[in-house]
Amino acid sequence: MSAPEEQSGSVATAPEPSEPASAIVVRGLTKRYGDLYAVQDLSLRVPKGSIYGLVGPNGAGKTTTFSVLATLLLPTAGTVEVAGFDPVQSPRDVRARMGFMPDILGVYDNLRVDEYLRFFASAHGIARRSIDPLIGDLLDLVDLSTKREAMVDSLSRGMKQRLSLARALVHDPEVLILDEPASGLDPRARVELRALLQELRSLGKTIVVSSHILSELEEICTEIAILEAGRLLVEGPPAEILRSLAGERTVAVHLMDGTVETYTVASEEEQVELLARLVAERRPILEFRSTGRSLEDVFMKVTKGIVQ
Amino acid sequence: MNPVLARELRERTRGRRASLILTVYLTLLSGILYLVYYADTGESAAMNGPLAATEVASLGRGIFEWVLFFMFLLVIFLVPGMTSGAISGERERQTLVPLQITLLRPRSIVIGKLLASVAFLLLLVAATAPLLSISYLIGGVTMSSVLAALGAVVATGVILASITVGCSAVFRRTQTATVMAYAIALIMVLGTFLAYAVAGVAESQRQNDFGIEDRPPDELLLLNPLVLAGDLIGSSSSDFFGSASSSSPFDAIHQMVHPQVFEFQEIGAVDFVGPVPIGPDGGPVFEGPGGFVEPQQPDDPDGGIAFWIRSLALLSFLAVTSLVVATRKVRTPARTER
Repeated sequence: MSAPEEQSGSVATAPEPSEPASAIVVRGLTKRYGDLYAVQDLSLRVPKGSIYGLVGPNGAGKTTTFSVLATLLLPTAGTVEVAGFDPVQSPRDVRARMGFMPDILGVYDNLRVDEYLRFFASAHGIARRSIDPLIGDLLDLVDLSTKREAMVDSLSRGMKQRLSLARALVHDPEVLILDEPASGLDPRARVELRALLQELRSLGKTIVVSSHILSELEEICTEIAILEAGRLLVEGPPAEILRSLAGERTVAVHLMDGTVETYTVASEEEQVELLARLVAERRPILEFRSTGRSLEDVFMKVTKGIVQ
Repeated sequence: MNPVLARELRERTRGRRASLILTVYLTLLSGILYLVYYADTGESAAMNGPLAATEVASLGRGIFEWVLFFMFLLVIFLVPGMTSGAISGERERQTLVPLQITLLRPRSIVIGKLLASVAFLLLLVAATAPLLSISYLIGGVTMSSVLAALGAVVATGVILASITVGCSAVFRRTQTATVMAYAIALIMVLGTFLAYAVAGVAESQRQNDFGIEDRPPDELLLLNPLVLAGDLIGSSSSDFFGSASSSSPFDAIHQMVHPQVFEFQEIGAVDFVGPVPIGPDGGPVFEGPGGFVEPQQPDDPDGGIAFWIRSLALLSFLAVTSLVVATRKVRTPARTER
């Protein structure tokens, strides 16, 4: 009747060679700490203007990858290109074009919201006279205008997150790298963040976000890469990943006598055939439901059992 | 203006801590000044009535030395504590990464941190400078001594702050950085005296056969800012009007360093008449009854560079090295994360 599902290995798409339309190119990135590989032979390509999601369980190497991209960490091997520059060779060129928001929000005591942004603006060498209007614009963008003179310490987590985003945008970067931007946010703040990212994308920015929860990214990302144990498992548009991985699906058939039969089908066509056959057999079907279609399920399947 | 400095000044002056430290600092020094004044004048007045001119000079010198000594102690005590969180505190608050990915150069971050600490130090010194100047008004101390002393205090503070910034960058945790910075300060101030004393004992045992008392190499004291200050204020004031009270701190330091100081008392009395020549050997100053007197080493007529210059050079070298190390530690991309 039904066969337990077996995942047939990981599907890693081969990285394309560097194209002009790539905001970030990662080739064979490896970061090793002693015997531990935080990232192993990772290759990615982030198209310009995309919202690119890096998904993986904790310890998959997302933050390490981001640290290399953000000019903080030297890779053990491999090359990286951000906005056309190598973070190792020319970190300042990358910094001028990249905004990074770490997963933990560092906040200064005794500093007001506008002073916080003014500090980072001047640290980016932005001229004094243009800083004030810039702060106004940024606070408008992240919806913190009313908090301009509030102490940074007094902000809620969601507000701090938005302030941190404004901080990362202070020098109008082409590429925005956000590590776990939605973690710890309430549902409302998440919706707002999503809208904000869409708005930034419409401003022409390339955005890379990470999360260990796929559903956070599924709806907003144009591209997704799934990482595990420092390796790339899948990369591509969410719909494409869904198609390539979720071709095989499980159908649960609930019968009138309370029994549930499960079938495995390889395609939508097969699913239609299955239903037609069951109906032709005059089975007392109450419910005919296919499962295993969401990206989360794909993710669960793909990442099963490799990392504890 | 360095953005890090601007931010630090804003943060530091906003809190209540800065004004609190300043108040405590001023109160302590004023108390010291009052005690010295009271002890000296009370003592003399009870015995002889009004003070003689030399006694006034001695009072001025006593106040000068005691206030200076406590300025030193407070600076040595305050600076590591004020500075130890410079880099490690940013790490701990997770604010270093956002800073590292700006266009600020690592050295600007380190220098900004140093200047913020030094700015507060200058505030402390400026606030207490009038106390030190009282001794000038009373007499017995030259203006050049006062200025040299203030210079030595500031230099000591800057050097200690630099070393502490280095500790703060090398050690990940502020707690460790604080302990290490204080340990280094302690070694500089007390450790060098100890080493000198031990070397002195060894030296006297070795040379007893020849019947000549020699002192251990003064290189052992090069790291000590108090000895530096003693040498500086001793050698820069060429017109002593009076002797410091016998219990003045720099006198005590010199007695500790030079147990044979009494042998020089007569020489000091002779030198007291005219301008005191700067010690040609540049050794640590001796204090005879005529104030700070550079001992003349008969076998070493022209010993080269003055002690305080060598000391300042060595300490500055350490400070700069420490800042360079701090800059390296702040630079990214780095081999390990954060």
